Amino acid sequence: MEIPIRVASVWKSYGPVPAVCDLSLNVPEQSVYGFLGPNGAGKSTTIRMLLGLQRPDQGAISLFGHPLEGHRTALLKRIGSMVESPSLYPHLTGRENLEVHRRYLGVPKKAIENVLATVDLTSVGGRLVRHYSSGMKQRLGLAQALLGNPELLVLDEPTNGLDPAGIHEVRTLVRSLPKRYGITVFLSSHLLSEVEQTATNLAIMSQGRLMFEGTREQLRQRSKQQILVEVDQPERAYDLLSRVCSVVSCEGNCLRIARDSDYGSAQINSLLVKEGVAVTHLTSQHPTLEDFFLELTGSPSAKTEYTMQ
Amino acid sequence: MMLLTVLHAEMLKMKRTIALKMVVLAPVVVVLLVFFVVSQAPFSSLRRNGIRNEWIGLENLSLFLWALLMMPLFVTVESALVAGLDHSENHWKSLLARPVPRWTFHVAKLMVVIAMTAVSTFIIMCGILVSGKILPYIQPEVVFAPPVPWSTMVQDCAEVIGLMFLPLTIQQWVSLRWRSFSVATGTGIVATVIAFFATAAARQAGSWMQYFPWALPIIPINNRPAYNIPATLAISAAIGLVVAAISCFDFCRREVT
Repeated sequence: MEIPIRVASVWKSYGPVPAVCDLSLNVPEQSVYGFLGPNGAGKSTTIRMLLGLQRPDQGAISLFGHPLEGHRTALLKRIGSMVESPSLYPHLTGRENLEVHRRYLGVPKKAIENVLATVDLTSVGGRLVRHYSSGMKQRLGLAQALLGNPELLVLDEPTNGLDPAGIHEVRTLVRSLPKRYGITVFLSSHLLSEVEQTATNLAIMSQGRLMFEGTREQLRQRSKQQILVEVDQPERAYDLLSRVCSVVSCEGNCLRIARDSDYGSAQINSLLVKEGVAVTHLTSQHPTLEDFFLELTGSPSAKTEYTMQ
Repeated sequence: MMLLTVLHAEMLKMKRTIALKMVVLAPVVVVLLVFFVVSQAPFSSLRRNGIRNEWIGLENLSLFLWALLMMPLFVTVESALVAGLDHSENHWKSLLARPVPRWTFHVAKLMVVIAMTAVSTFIIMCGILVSGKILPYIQPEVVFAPPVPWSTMVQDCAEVIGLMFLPLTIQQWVSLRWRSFSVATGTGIVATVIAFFATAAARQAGSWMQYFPWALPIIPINNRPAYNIPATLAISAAIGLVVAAISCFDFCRREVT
């Protein structure tokens, strides 16, 4: 079985600024692979390298078991892509836009009608793209990416600028692709909610580094239950608790403790009270994937959220 | 084969663009301007430099305006517009992710601009013929006697296009290298102005400025006897090919950001 994407220790810098550091990825066949990270995490740079638009400074990229370097044209025949916004010519109709790309791909003319039907744009295919709504443009961009019956679809932020209905449509379409057409989808986004509902596998990037790679289930297991304790002497409580369990964070009077041992709420409470630390609030929490994502990516919003709690 | 496919796609992209309309508009403006000038002052405009044939006089005047001013500006704007089609909204990220060799995009765009220049020059030639047929009705003293000097006209037009190849490749490089429309048009406008003065200077003193790339197309019209046209054509075309090759190499190596 050919692994659609294999990235091995790839580095990429823009001058002195590192964009991607030691990135390794393995994208399984017929998966929807969510590639997550905040803005500036290195997602788009990675995607550009996957498509041969940029060259890595170090490391290797292979697609379908072949190195991208030297096999670019042959490999790109098997890939459809939409990087950031769809690339459309506003002075051409939807069909003409697809015709431009059909010529590059050398596929039969009927492929245009097929992809227009897939994205539900058949009725407006003859309209100039400048008169399309954002959602229609996005769907036409997807049609463009699907045109050559690709085995791998690389989508960079495909729901950017869409309204909730549009997001739902794109999400449903993307989710159906592996089953309907056997396509592997590599989907980048900065929105966990988007990827969480679509992807079977996930990778999380932050500041050019890979923070997590695995299945959605593995990610859920990683985001374990936590205990939140509010005390009158946080420093003393930190000293006591860090000896017996792992303290995730300490913000103000609140301590967040990972529930990775048998040390539960009752034991924590009894230990603190016994040592003369007054417990004013104690609650058990199950962080969402979003909390875990924010924690991994070190987003400032995560810290604010913890402080507020 | 792949080049032909990309060329077809490139031509489809031009549909409904101002670039395509300019192929007709630019030469028609020259033809109308010359028609107006000749209709007002037929003898002083058609018999400049001792030319005795009205057809040649009309052709010289039209090609002079075209080669000196309008064609360099036309090539400037067309190169910028053809490149701008894919600079806008950064279409490169989708085009260059297609299974097509990168050089074909560069060569196809170059061929499109050359073809547009050739078609426009052909329209000038047609305009000369139409003007020659209509002018005697407005100015009965002007006689466009047969035969029409086809070979001279075709040769002059071909030489003008051939000598435009070098500035065209430079202009194409600038247009593809920088996304900004102003950089491409600014370069072309400045070069055209320099060429204008270079032509004036060359007429009197035979200055080296006559070999300024943008001044080359005027050579066959302005001062043919003083030059070895075939040699000038061959040398400028060779340099043009080198410029195109460097530009293509630069285009293929560039990363899409």
